[in-house]
Amino acid sequence: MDVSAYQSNHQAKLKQALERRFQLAWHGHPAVRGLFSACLRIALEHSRERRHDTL
Amino acid sequence: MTPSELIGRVPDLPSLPEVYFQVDRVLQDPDFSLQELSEVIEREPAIAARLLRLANSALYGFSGHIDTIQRAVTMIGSDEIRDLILSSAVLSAFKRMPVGAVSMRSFWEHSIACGLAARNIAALTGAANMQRYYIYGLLHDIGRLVLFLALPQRMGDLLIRHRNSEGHLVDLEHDALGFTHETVGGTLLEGWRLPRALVGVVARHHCNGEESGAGREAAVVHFADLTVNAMSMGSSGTRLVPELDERAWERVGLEVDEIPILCADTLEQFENVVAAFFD
Repeated sequence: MDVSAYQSNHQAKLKQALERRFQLAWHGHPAVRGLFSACLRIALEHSRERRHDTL
Repeated sequence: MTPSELIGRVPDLPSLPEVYFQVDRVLQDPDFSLQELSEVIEREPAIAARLLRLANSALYGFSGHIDTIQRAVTMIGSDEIRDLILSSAVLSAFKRMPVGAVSMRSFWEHSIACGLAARNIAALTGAANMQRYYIYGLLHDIGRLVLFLALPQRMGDLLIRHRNSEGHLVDLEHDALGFTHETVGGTLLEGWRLPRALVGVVARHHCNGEESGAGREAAVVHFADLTVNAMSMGSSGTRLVPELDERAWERVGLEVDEIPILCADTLEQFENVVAAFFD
């Protein structure tokens, strides 16, 4: 698997994990959507930082 | 079984240390002196040491500049010191109790994170007395700790059902017991003679619509709870983000585009404040 395929697979997994956490909260309210987006961005940033540290 | 009877079933349920009430008594006197207040706190070295660590933590941003209790009181303020003693005392009181179903460390991490998030929301929305929100968030789930201690088997079963996605833990509690950890927490804090505002927030932090009677403080803690659950900062048992009460969101007064700031600020302060509590 090349790097970009790995990255997009990893991002999809992070998003799925977050969606599971939000499964009973998700009802389309802008605040819930805003919270979801903020958490996803943080998760992706942390994941990038961890990869950077490993390299 | 009523919430009071349930609280009575917890073996060796801790009470608040006398130092909290002594500090409270000193602060009731309009002519109290800093010297007098500091002496009362210094009689409890463990609490005094933790107070200094917290005063120098990201909670206040004085990093390393506060080296005496008297200076801490001057810089932070006496009411705030009373809240810090309360938070430290409650954490110490429950620290050594085995809860089984959840990790005590994770429980307090969730509570500390919720306190930080509530305070950050208060700051972002320009709330008066924003420091008070920290203690509201810190103690919001204390009733769940009592439930785990009083009914370990039953709560273990509810946790399994919750983790199998059968519903929110708070709803499963209500179905099984007829009340929730909110009522238990409120009853416990009332029994400890803690301020009514704090009791009210703890007793209504899930809000549950207009009829709940929850005020703005409870609404702030409600959204703080959602935020730290969404970010998986510790856990008081639940693994899912609670359902947002839309009326509570309107009372909070936060803008949607401020949510990323709230998340980033809370995350930035979190590890430092947790270390101050546990080291």
